[in-house]
Amino acid sequence: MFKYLLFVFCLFCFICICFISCKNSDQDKYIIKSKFAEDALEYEVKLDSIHIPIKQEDVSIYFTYTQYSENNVDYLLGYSPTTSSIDVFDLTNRTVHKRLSLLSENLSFKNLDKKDLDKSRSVTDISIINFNSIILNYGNDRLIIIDTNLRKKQEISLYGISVKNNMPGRLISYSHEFKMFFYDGQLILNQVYYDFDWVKKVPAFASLNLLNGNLHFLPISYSDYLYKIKGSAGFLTSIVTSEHQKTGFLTYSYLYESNIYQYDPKNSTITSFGATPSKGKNIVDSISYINGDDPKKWVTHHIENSQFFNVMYDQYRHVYYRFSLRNIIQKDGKYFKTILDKPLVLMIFNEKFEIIKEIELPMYKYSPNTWFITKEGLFISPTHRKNKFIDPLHLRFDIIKVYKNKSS
Amino acid sequence: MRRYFIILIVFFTITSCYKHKVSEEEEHLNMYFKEKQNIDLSKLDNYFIIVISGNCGSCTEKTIKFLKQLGNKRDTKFSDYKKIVVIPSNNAEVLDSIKNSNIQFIVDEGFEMEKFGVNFQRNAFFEFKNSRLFYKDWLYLDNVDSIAKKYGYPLK
Repeated sequence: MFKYLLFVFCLFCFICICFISCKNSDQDKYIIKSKFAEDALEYEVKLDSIHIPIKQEDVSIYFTYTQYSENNVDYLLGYSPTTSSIDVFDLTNRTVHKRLSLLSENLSFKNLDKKDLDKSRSVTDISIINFNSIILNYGNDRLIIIDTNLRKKQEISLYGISVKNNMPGRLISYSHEFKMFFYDGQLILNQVYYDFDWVKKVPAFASLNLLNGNLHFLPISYSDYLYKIKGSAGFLTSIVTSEHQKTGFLTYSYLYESNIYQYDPKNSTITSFGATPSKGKNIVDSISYINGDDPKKWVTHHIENSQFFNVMYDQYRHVYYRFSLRNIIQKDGKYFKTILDKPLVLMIFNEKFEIIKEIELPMYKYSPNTWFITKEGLFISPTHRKNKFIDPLHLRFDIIKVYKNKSS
Repeated sequence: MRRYFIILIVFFTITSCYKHKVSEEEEHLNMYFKEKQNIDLSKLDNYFIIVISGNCGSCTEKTIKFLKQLGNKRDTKFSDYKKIVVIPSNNAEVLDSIKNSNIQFIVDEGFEMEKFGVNFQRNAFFEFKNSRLFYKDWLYLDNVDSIAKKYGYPLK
């Protein structure tokens, strides 16, 4: 009897060890550990802020936006759902530059959702060549190119592009996830498939020639880990991109893992870099969903896993930035924590993706996905949904300024 | 006779020990209303609670039409029911479409609902009868039609 119990106990221990080691193996197999820059201590960070007077009815936060510079002046173009307009701000002179109303009939924007909840009736993304060519993604249905005099320059059906190029799916972009951006003169969009089996690797990046409508597919797909878990990363399955790219490279990452990837078109290679934060999960747990399951399960998963945002290259300081939301435990005594309670962490890397700084930002201050770069530094909006000090009469940004201490 | 007496004792013991089992959702709603809104749901008799989610497509025209009918002051069908709609502040514009109704609207200003576990990915509809949960469903897509029909408010 004793021998039998001992056998059962040993078997139980063996299974536990196997289980724990299997759990760790995903982390070891798919995640690259980060390295610290030797000169990390020579870098310093300063915080500055700007505010631009706006009217009470204007929005004080933009989630769909693009940044543009011309004649040494930096601009922000943001989509305001409440006023159905593209608001152009002169960041250099701290003024409102122009408001482009999308309600004009000749622009083809119909029935825009003022709450911005229904993305099929919204401007999901903005990109810009210059003030004569502002590209608006209207509900992932059409690209509408306008100028600042509200003339429609071009209208491109994304469905038409898919058909023309025999694409077994469609093209999408969202300002806060896969942001469309220009790369080598072509517009990069996210290619999604009608039928996705998570077996064969397929391209997820398509470059669109706006002049002839031709698509070219880049050899970039979801990472091995998402294929391994067959896409079951809950709300965190997306590829994340930025318009702030280093010339000659295409840098991208995924919401569900800490690695950063860089595509080099000259030799068609992809290099992966470790970018693990010092605390929290580096890879999202897989989550199964069976029809009839409580959708709350996904919310819990979202809260209890880290979320890694886009990687932005700062051409002025030659560093990369990447924000992330660290995982927390949802249950908090008899209460519950939400995604708003996740700490926002900024990692700054040198050009070899070695860590220069890792900064945990103040809780409940900054809103995710409100960041961009100008020659002044890294802008971020202090409009967290739990921030009680939001000024409705100013568009405010904090500017994170990184510089290398020359005296060191 | 003795046998009947024992059965009776057992029956009373079982019924007296029986306590209405409160679901997790009810528990969270009770906690939210009590602590955040100072409303003790156990003191209400019959009531509807509709929790609007802050997600995409949550307040469709159909949902608004249903809420308008449910809250119609001239309609006496559910006059003995208290009607409460909780709506996150990012979706609060919906209130502009539903004026002059007998629905009590609660705007969840600081996104506090989730703190109490009241975080539905879709709009949730609850009917309480005699303070007990009688019916619940997602007020979402085609369900809006079927719920409206169930309560005698055809939307077509």
